[in-house]
Amino acid sequence: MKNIALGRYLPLDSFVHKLDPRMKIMSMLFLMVAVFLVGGDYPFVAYGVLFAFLIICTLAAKLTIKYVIKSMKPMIFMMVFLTIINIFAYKTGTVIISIGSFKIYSDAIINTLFIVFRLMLMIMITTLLTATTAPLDLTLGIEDLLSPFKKIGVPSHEIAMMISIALRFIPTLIEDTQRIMNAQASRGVDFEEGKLKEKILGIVSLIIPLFVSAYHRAEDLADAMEARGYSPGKERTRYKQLKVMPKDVIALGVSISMCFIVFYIGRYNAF
Amino acid sequence: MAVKFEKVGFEYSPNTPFAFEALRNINTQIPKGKFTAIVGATGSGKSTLVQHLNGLLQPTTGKVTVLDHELIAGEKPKGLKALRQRVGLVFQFPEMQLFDDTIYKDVSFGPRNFGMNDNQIKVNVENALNLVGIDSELWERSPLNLSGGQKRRVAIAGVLATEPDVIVLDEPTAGLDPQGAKDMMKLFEVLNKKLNKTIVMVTHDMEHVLNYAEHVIVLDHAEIVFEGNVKAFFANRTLLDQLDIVKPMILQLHDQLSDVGFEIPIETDLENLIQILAKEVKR
Repeated sequence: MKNIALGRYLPLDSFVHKLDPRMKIMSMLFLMVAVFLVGGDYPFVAYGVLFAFLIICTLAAKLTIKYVIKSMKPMIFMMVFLTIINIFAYKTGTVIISIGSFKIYSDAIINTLFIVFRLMLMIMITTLLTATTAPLDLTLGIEDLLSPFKKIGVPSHEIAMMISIALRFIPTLIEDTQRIMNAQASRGVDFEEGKLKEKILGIVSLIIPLFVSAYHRAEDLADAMEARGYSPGKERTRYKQLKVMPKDVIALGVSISMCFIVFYIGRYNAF
Repeated sequence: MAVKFEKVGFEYSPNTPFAFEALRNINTQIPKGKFTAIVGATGSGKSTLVQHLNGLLQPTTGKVTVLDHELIAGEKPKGLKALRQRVGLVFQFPEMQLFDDTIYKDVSFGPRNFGMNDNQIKVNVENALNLVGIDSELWERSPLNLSGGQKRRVAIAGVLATEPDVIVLDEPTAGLDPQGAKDMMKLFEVLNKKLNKTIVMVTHDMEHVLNYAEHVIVLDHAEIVFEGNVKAFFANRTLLDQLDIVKPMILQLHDQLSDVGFEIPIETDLENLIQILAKEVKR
């Protein structure tokens, strides 16, 4: 439970960690757009360039490649699943392997690679954002970025508050889960081995207490917030003020340029 | 000996930025059939230590022997389920683990998991519920609607029903009112004295240590700094001061009396102390 890497903040001291969260979110959005803009005749060259750029960013953030690979682990199932679907779905291009009446086509391989690359890049980008930005900074950034939409009725503060509460409770819930798992394991539940029926009963014995405690916590938090006079939608000041520095603008600029470069390489291959 | 630790170390999330050493070079033994208290400040490694007793955690270095099971660092443990039946672990706030729709079913969850037959389950569940003092008219009700103290009793019954030889309790009286805490301690005393269970209890309450425990293990910053019998523990003034442990009331009284000139032996029973004191005064 404690080994989930995806989406976890790593409190290190690096250039990327110190960037303004708003600029980081924008940069990540542009890089994500870049992933989907790749097309044309040389998509893999473009992906290669983007990949290299992200590796550099990852290293600049003092994250290890090992950590990035670890964060991809939960997605392996997804990747395998998509690969299988693709192999069955695509019936164009040349036949590469044929086993009896079942044939695997070249387009299927290319498309699978495409999707796997996209997923990998997306995970790298999100890991880069979440591992270098403290959850509270992240929500501050989201709130600020959404505030222009207040005029058309987007409750930016409430959304940010909901996200920050959700993020705040992830470690707590993981801790609760671990605790209840330990307690039930002590009562003879075998979460790893054992028959299917036992496993299902084991999971029930985990989920019900988890819900009970989550509701308790939610009620307590709501009471505590009301007791301190919280009311959504009111103007409020903030202890932490975000300030855009030149390096933030440069970072955003680099990301936007990257987006165009990748798009261009995909079409025309600059090399 | 019920439990033996040999050069045991434990580290959470080793080789990551979150690595944390919770136990360092632990060498100790927990005697069979006795009431052992484990004390120490928050974060000193008490809870980590007790989770080794039923194999929820495996040592990262060294070896733990519990009854006849061995947990050796780096080796895949065998027979964990059998071990967990013989060592019942009651966590902090055990009421969190209740989930079934009736009290009876919840208590029978453990015995069923350990593969007991229906007859035995019935006997064990009824015994356990009677032992913790839950009326039979409540047995078919939902455990979630009970009061806090009752919930905890049901949760403890859920562990007792598996008939463990060793019962490990992690702060069993936290959050209970004084009377509830006292009743709870009396229950553990019965388990220890009448049913010959080995009891290991993590606690912050020195009154409980003085009144119920025989053997004390003190942890500080992942290491054992004291082990021995209760009298020796409370007699060790330098240790108590160093760890900021608040002495039990009766020992404070003793100290104050000796400050004003009474020369009396250390006595843990209030009745006895009063008698000794009365004699002193007459003299």
